[in-house]
Amino acid sequence: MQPIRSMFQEVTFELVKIILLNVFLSTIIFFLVADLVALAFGMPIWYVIIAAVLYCAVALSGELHRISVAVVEERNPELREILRTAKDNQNQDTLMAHALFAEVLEKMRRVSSGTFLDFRKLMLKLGAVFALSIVLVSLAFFDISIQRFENPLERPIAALGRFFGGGIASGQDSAGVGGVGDDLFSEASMAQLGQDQLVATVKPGLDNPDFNQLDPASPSSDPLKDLADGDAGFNEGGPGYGSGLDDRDLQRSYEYAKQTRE
Amino acid sequence: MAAPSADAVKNIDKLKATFTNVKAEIGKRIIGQESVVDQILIAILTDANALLESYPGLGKTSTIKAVAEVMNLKFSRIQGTPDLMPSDVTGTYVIEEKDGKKVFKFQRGPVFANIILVDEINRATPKTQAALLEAMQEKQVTMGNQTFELERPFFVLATQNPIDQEGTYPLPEAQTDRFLLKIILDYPSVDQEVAIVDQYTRVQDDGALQQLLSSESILLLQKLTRQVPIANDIKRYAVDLVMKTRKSPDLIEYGASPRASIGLVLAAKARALMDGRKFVSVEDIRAVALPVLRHRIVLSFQAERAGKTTDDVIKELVK
Repeated sequence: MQPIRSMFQEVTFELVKIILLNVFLSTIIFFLVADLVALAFGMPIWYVIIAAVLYCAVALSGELHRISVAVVEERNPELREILRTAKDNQNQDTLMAHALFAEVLEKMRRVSSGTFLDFRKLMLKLGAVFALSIVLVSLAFFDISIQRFENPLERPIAALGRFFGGGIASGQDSAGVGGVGDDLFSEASMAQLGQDQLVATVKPGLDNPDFNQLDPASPSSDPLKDLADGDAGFNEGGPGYGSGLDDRDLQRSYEYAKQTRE
Repeated sequence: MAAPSADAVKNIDKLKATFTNVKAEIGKRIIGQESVVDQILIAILTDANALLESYPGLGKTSTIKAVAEVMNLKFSRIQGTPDLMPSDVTGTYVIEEKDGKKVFKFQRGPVFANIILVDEINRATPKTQAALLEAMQEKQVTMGNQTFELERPFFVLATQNPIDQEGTYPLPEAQTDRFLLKIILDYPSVDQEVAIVDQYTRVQDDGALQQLLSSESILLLQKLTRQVPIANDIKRYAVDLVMKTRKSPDLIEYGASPRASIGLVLAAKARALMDGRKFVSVEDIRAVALPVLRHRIVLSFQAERAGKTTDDVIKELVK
């Protein structure tokens, strides 16, 4: 019993080593790619470091969760089904189980831990690391500058700041804030008051009537005349809305109301 | 359990040679039908019963007799007929005079043997078939208020033919479920048939087969069969296969019971042991799926109308 358990512990240890190597290489590739992206977008390096650490943690946890002797069986067809059977039955204490363990131990002696590795995948990863490193070193060596794009995180962060009440209030001078044109984004505390005088022009239109052009309301003691004026005021184009109703129309309304009363 | 000796472990490696010798010895009497012999041996190793079905004249009875001969087991044969009574199978009380007194003595029937060949079981009445049930399942016989244990090993190998069904009593599903395997014998190939003709038309020699296994060794092999380790995912594969028979309403009206799952795993273990392996492979499960499941499922009307047989449906499920 003990030899088979030790053997499985050894196999598990070897598999963990392979997983660590694979995850380490994947993380380096991720880091290098992320570094290139960060250069392009002008993001700080600590973004990349945090992302790489997160990637490493997630990948490692996933790989360790999936650890299985099936990997060894895949690489060594002579162990197919026998290894997992031995692992599932390592607590059995029967003659057949012992015979199985003896066979597994015998076969495992002939298996090198190097066969657990997927060399093709490993070489591909190493190649990718090498190529990415060359690209990055070349960029530094030849001082090639990648076009600086707008930081994609800048706007969402500002929007979040405004949402939580830390943004710039409307009406304040935003000159020099954030360096993003005339947009009012960024911290209110960062805003600097300027000396410019703002000139506002209100353009008249259907939506924005020029109240200065309206006739002042004539005081009247006759409620009917007021009523006629009031009714007309509810119509589209009534007085006060600049729709073309003139004094003649008002006079006619007044006459009609008077006749009705009589 | 203390760790077994190295010799005991090495003896396990010799099992394949033992079975090869047994099969070769049976092959002296039975030409072809290797898979049938394998399945009968599986039934014996799993301490179970088997139902053999074929057209007349394909060697069902001869095969079983040859197996019994090689194994040095007590063999008895019961011919199924409509007038066969349960007491003809189990035995009966007879009056015997002893010391001037008349006493009842139990006269054991043919069921008190190691291998029972029930020829044309479907010709016996349901009452007689039921008498066999207790023997098959409980390995015991009850007469009056007395129960008699049957000798171990004990197997019932029953035969039936699929044609000439007039005057027969088809086995109910509950009874067929108690047979671990339903073995179907097929016609031999031309070369095999020529060899059969040659063997049975020349001058008969002694023809006695060598006895290679004793009842003790069979009991030990049965114990070893149950000890064959199986991986969890392969066990799961067997159970999933049986579950599929219950979840295919377009093909199967009634699926197999959990007894089928037990049978699948046990039969696969026996196959692995005969093959000299110390573990069960998926291939073992696939190989025994047909004989284990074919008598445990009832096809749907659609499947029957499409001309499918139970074997076709099982093969589809195994794919």
